[in-house]
Amino acid sequence: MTKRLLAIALIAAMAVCAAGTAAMAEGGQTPLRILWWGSQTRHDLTMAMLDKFMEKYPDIKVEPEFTDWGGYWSKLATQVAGGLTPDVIQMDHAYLVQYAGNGVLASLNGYIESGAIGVSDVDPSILASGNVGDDLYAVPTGMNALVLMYRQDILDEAGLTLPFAPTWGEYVEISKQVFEKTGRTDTYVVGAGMDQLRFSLRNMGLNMYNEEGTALGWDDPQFLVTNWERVLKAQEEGYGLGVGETTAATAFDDLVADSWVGCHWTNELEAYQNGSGVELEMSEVPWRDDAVQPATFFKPSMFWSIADTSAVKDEAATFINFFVNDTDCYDIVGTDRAMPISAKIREYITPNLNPAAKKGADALDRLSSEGHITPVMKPDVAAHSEIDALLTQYNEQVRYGLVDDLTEYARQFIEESNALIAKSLAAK
Amino acid sequence: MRRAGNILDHDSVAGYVFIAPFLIGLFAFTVIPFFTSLYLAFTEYNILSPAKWIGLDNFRRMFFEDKLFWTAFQVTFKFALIQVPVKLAFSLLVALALARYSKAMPVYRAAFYIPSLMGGSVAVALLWKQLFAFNGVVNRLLGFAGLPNNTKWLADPNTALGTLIALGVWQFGSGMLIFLSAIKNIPSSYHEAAIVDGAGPVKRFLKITLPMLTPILFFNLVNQLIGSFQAFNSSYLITQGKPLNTTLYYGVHLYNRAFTYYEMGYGSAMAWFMLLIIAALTALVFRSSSMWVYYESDGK
Repeated sequence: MTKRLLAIALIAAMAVCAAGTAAMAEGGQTPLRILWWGSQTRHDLTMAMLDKFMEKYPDIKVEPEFTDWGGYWSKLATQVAGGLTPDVIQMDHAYLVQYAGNGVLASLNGYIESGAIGVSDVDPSILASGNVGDDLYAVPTGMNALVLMYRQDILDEAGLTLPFAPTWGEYVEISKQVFEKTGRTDTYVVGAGMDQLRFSLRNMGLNMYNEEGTALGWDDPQFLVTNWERVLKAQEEGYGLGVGETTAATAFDDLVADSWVGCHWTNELEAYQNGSGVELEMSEVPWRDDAVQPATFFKPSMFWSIADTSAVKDEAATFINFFVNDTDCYDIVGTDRAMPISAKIREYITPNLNPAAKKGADALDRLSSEGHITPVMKPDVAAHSEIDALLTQYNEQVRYGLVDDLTEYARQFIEESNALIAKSLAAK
Repeated sequence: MRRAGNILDHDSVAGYVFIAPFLIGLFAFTVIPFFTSLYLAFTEYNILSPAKWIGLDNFRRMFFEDKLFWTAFQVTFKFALIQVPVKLAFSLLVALALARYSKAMPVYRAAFYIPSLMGGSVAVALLWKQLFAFNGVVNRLLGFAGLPNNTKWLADPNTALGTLIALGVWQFGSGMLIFLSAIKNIPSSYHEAAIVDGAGPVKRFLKITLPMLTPILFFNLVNQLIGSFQAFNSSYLITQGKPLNTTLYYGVHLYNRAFTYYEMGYGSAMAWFMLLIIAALTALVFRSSSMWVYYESDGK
């Protein structure tokens, strides 16, 4: 009899435990899981913003989940595979095609038509950046641009100024002088990564990938060779930080320890200023000396998407609408997820921006008023992240001085990238 | 009701209920994933959409197309073949030093074991990264000592793997403890008899201690061999396979394919191939053991 009671008690205890975790979120409220990536600054702001959201919509109970960029995509994929896809997902341009194409994301067309997500104050071309085919799968959180962030205090020390739209020739000259006068090295000039390649292509009116997304949009090895030669020269003459001489432990430290300049998105200014503890100014990414058009583009910094499997899509749409249109949201988050897409909200927040956000907004304004913005490219191909990693490997070989024939090596990269794209298309 | 009652009265039911938490864990996190990954090894599975059977394609790609696969394979062999003997020798050496009787010994033993307690932790890997950074403590100390202090320990293709191996060797504690207890178990009468016969310390080590330790050496060897082939943390956290893929462990390459590029099928295939390699090597060590492992009782 005791044994029987014991067994029943244990089973009951386990059942209670299991039920307890399930019931916790209930209590009349609809649970809404939201997943995002970001820095500590963003986590703090977002948590405060979500408290406000729940205050306004008391029948929704948000279950926030967040991580840094590094672990985000494996976390999300694991949750998707486990049938635990969050209801609202922060999405990136580089992964949008992959996730929408695999049916993870819900089409938002219905919510736009019904007005559940109000977009009357949003420029249609901005909204369309979340399209895959004819369906909208992602609502941009805001627009930003890739710019140089640099330390004016160091330039002052060297008695130099960086033009707002420098050419590579001008930029390299300044980098050299900074090194001569202050001993400070530059990590951007030895970068030669995906962004630098993309900008130099765009300067010549080309895109990383062709319209159809079936191959690279260029075939001239000279684009890579120019970048690599610049890197090798900077390394050799010392103004570029030597390979393996990094002392910074984080991207923020870079601006304190190894460099006076870095290339980041405008909305990241506050995070970089907080993280590095130094004041930063902004300029355009250097132009090719033979540029035929500006390369800078406004890009949706990130998106909100809704999971196709979500049982609370309406509540998810309510949240996205709150993020797009509600001034209460922006009283808290400001421009952390970049300049809001709604014109009304932009107008609302502009007078109240904190100094860092104001600097970011001014830079965006200046970019458009000088006419230095060209249209954003289509979302990257599914193989993009792999091609990005491939470029990193190629750069490493070059920086270690293991490549004799740069042109031949660039050709090899082009060939290998096209093969990766073909493979990923064949897999579908 | 009576039937249900009878079942609940049965002795074994209470037992099963008691071990249920373990059983659930075993099945959910070991048994089921184990067989699932075997199935996935023959599929293309990007996590986001259902797995598709592709037969041996993953293996064909592994052996004939993926250049990094063989790079990672070589790196891992090199890593294991250096780390295992060095770590064994080092832990044995420390164990011998700590086996002497002295009042302070327990403190030393604890102190030497601490690196292993922190062993797998992320913090220690990051500490290592800082120590061996270009302007890290190691280079500074070398500078104070008047030695060359511009070695890029973690960024030079010639030194990076060695620096990671050093981290592994530094975490010698658990092997050392096992050696230590085995040394203490060697009856002192053997040594006393040998001393009477005029054997010096070296001879006694070679003729008594070492042979008596071979079963433990064997145990440690197998353990560390398996551990080294599964190495992941140090490369993932410190070098991410850089520079020039000289620290790209098999485990890191597998992780990249599976979790960065969402190729779970390919990752599973890689995992199963590594399982076969480890099994083969372990079998080899077991086979060879009859030649060098000495069991006092002769009971093999």
